[in-house]
Amino acid sequence: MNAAGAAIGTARRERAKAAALLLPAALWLLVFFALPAFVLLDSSFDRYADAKVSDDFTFANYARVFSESVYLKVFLRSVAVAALVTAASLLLAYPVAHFIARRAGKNRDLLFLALIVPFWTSIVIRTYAWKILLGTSGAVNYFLLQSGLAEAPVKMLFSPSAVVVGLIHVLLPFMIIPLYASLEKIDPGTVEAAMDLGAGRVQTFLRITFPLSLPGVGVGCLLVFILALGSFLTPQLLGGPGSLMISNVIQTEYMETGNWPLGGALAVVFLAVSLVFVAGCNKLFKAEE
Amino acid sequence: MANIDVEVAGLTKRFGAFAAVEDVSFSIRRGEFFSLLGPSGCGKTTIMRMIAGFEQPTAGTIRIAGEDMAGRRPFERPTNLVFQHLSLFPHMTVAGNIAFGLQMKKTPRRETEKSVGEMLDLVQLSGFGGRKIPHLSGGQKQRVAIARALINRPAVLLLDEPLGALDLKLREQMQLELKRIQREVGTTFIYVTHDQKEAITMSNQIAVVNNGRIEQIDSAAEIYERPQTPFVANFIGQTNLLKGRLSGVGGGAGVADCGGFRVRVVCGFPARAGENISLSVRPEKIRFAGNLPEGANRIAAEVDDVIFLGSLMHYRLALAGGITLTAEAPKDGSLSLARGDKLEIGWLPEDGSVFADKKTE
Repeated sequence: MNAAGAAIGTARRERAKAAALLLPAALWLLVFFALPAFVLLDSSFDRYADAKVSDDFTFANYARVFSESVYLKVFLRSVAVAALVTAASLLLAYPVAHFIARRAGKNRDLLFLALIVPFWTSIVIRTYAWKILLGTSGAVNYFLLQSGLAEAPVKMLFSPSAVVVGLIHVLLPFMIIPLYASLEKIDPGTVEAAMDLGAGRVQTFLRITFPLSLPGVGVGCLLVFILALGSFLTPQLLGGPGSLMISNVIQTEYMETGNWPLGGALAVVFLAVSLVFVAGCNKLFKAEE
Repeated sequence: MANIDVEVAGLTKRFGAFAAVEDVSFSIRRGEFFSLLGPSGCGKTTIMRMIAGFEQPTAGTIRIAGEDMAGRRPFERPTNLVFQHLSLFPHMTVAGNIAFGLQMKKTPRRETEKSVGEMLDLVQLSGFGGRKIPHLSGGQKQRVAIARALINRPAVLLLDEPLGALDLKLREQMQLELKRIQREVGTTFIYVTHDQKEAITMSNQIAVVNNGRIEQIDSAAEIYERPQTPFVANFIGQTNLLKGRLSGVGGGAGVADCGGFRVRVVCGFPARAGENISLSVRPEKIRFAGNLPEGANRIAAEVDDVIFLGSLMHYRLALAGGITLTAEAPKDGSLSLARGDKLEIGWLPEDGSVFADKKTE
């Protein structure tokens, strides 16, 4: 065999090895993601009439999703809640991530652990804790009444704001960790160099630190936005009927109404919205580099 | 003196009980290339960071162009720094990096563009303004860092071992480049390095720093020819250090008993008989039999090893009393020695440097 032939042979073997390594993950995705997604897509075109699902091909479910204003409202509300949670998380997480990355010194590991510890408690329990805090006879209201800041208990639970607060609490670490990772990578010399060249603290942050942390900002926002958009438990426990999100509506269609085709159509539209958002983010941050 | 640019007096920096810098004083004339030379951890970088304003001195004063720098933040000082790891802004172009200092001063755009162009010419990077930092070579990054620091026309440019990351060839090229840039702009340079060759090549004045103190400040030639402490003799170039005890002192000269042999020495300090001394003799000062001048010390030696160094030869010589010396000779065929050869070697008393040993109390 000549040299070129040998090279092709080696390349072929390398490709076979890569394929063998990828196989388990690919199979897993096929069986537990691609197949169910296909079943979902398929069922979204089924007809639902008189509480029965029939196999006729129809666009009726999609027509309902796009024509009935209640679904549009839920979508818009979900996007608004997710955007608000993302923005608030970014503002809250940035100083924390900056502190851990730049100032914590020896305490860095301890602080990181503190960030991870909440994950050891079930999200259900953590969300119930907010019920105790925010309820009419909860800790916050007790404080407000005792201090005279409020005359009567303030209704905080079962509202979109309660959902936002609960989601920020649950999702904050997903913002802090990528922010920390990209802040920690910034050469501290660049910050000193900026100050040496005449930049004050604000200028240094705006011109150096923030632009260099953009990859972390992008990943953190993407993670938090997608997780918030698809959140089910937090709106279920803390939200009222007026603050349901997409996942709650989909769950209702599947488990209570039994209208699987409509639930499927909602899920497909939801997935499409999420994918468009991810693709948009990717493009934005590719352009940044 | 009017043309003193930097004046440092009694500068001290303590971290807790540890004194990183202890009572350091020096003055630098305008336009001078001044090096702080010493081993890593000797305090030279701390001295430089105090001049730049990134560290606050525990005691002492720093005056630049006659003004006291106490309490002034880095960007309020007429100094700019070239960082050890360069620390260029990776998200900006070459021109963006260089323009940064002027943008912070709110210089009009057209003026900034003109200055950036001049700086790119100065560091020979014309046409590279639009390049991204990660796409540059090590030497090019170096040039950008220098241009970025010079654009604000600082009175003093501080350089913190900026050539450390480059390979030898490029480093030697950049040394000459730095010298040229310094001649062209006429700015005072303070250069921090642990590389004695680098310091000798570039500097007008060298301050040798050890354990937070300055051992000697002099021109490169003076430091090499007349080291004032054993540390300086050892750190600058290669040397042979011998221990001895003085006897027969008189008229600034004496005889030192080095154990196996006695040599005549010249003392640059008031010496007393019976005093312990260190004697430094550079390898190239050692002469061989047949070439020993009048008045040289003569010692019997045996060649222990022959080391070929290209244009030079090094000979390891075993002397009486278990002492070994390294001698250097040009490889010109006038001398051919082999391991085991026995011959007489020596040096002129004035070619050795004598230091009084510190009293151990």
